[in-house]
Amino acid sequence: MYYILLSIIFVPLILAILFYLVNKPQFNSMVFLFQVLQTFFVYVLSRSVIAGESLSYVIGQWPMGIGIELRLDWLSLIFVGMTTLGFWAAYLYCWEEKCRDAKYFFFITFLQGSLVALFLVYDLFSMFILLELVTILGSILITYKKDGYAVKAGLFYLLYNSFGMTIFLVGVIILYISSGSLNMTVAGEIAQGLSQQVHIRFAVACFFVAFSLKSALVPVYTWLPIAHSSAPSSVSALLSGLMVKIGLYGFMRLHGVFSGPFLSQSLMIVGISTALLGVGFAVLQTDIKRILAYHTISQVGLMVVGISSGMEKGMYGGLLHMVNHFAFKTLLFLCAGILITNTGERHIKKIRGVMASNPFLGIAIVIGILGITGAPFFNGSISKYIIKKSVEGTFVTYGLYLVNFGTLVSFIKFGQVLGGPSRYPFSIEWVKSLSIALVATLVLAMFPIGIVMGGRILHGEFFSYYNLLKESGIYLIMAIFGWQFYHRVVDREHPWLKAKATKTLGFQISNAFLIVYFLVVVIFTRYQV
Amino acid sequence: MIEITLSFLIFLIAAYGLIKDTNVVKSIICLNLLQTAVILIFILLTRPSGSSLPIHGFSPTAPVDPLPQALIITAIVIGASITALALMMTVKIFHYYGTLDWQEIIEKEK
Repeated sequence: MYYILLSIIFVPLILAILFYLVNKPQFNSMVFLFQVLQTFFVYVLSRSVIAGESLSYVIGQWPMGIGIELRLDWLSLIFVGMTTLGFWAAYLYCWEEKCRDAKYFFFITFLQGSLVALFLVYDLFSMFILLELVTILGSILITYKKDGYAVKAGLFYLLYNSFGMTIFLVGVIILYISSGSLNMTVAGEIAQGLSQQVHIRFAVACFFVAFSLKSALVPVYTWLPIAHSSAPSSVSALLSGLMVKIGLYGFMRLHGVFSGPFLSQSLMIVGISTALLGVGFAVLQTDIKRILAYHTISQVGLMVVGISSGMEKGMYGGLLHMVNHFAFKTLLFLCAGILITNTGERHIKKIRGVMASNPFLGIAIVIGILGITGAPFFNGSISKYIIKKSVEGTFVTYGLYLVNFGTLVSFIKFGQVLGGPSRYPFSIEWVKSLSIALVATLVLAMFPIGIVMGGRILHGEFFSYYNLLKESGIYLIMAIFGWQFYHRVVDREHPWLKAKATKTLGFQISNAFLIVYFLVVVIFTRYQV
Repeated sequence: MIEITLSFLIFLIAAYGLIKDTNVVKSIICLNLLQTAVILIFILLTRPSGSSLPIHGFSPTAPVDPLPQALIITAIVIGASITALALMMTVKIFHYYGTLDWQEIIEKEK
């Protein structure tokens, strides 16, 4: 088991170096062989986790608390599984264009190895290194063989994220000095006893800010729309589907360690405002990829609302929504990539007639839209319902309804690409359609999985015909109102609102946001009981 | 104590530069300064005065904790690689936009 655990990290890394050294186009097809092997390894590991035994090994047989610990429990298993599936989709999708490009495969397989390692290490400094590594590789992939806007986006992403990671490093240092260990369990146990002290709270604030930046919460979200909309489509899918969730992984991981002050009502407020602001911007966008990028912000806000309730129910809802969001957002980004390459347009109003010329792509987009808006019998509905349940009775519930409404409105806008006469061919190579079919199947499969797991967590109060009828009714009413709202208000494109929505915030103002947010969080954690 | 205060001052200067300066290269320099300040504080806090080198059989007094030094090397290497990559991107940006000012780049995009 130990060697399998090591090999799911090191096989991608070694393969990446081989791609670079061999540098022959024929060798690139090894990536699929390796993916089959990787999937098999993850399957073997998941069997032992599902049997109820989480794996934990220290590299080099050092005693616990000194060496680097690798731990595979439920949380990391879900993330590792998501990584494997997401990279299947990315490899299949980019194969047609990049199959002769060994360097691209070097970067992308290296990214896979570092992401798997990031989800397995149980050690704060290794986490810092891998976060930085993922940031570097992400920015290289955003700018890969591109010019101008994409390079600026990549530079913004790189600098802003490394600023955030420096704050993370401060937290690691303070925790190390006060506890004498970098292992999360050991450091966490010592820090639990000292949780009233100022420096521990400062360290918690540092982690909080760094993970907020990684998951693009409200004042520090500015890097996400630029980066996600200018990357190549397979990379956008990875960024939006997987890499945004790194911050949420951090929140959940450290919540298990510092169970006191880490997640609280304050995070819920940040989460709901992220969800509202993200959806507000998304409604006003006209660039097809920017719509999806702002939706990532808003959906991450929903997940944060779920996990910040701190209850098992909310945690589970947030985690399920994370997997669901991974499925439908990957699907939508891949489809958007096909729309853009076939038409050469990014403006939503200039792309029409997908359903008429390519029904397969049209159905895939419909599945994605129904998933993300939370239509009944699609995956988004269950996780949104559980999140709603977990905050029942507070003002946040109304915010969630508003977010759902906004999501519907902006996907009515997005859905208009389906109708109309066919002007463009919208042809897909079979490898790409395989990738889209894979992710669409995942979106559909997540509904029964969510039902079964939801029934276990919520103990039967979850699935009843009455609930199903009620939620379907709400969805239909919202869809009708959303249709009206879109045609009467959004479609008019008020010039002032449009100017506000398409304005990109500069690097300096983003840094100012980050510092102000940091100070607010530090003061807040200091005086929190 | 004076060293820690000075390092903290460097941190503040770097943060100010990141907010204030609109040049891309200066932003990168400020980020480097920020990381250097953090590293300095880390070294100063984990090295009590009067301690000696962490080499086996060579310590007349109590040796320092060797782990922070190892971590710092890694952090420095990461900082250096980020700087290299960022500077490479800066060259590309200059070729494309003909300027290195964040504000002018945003204006030229329109």
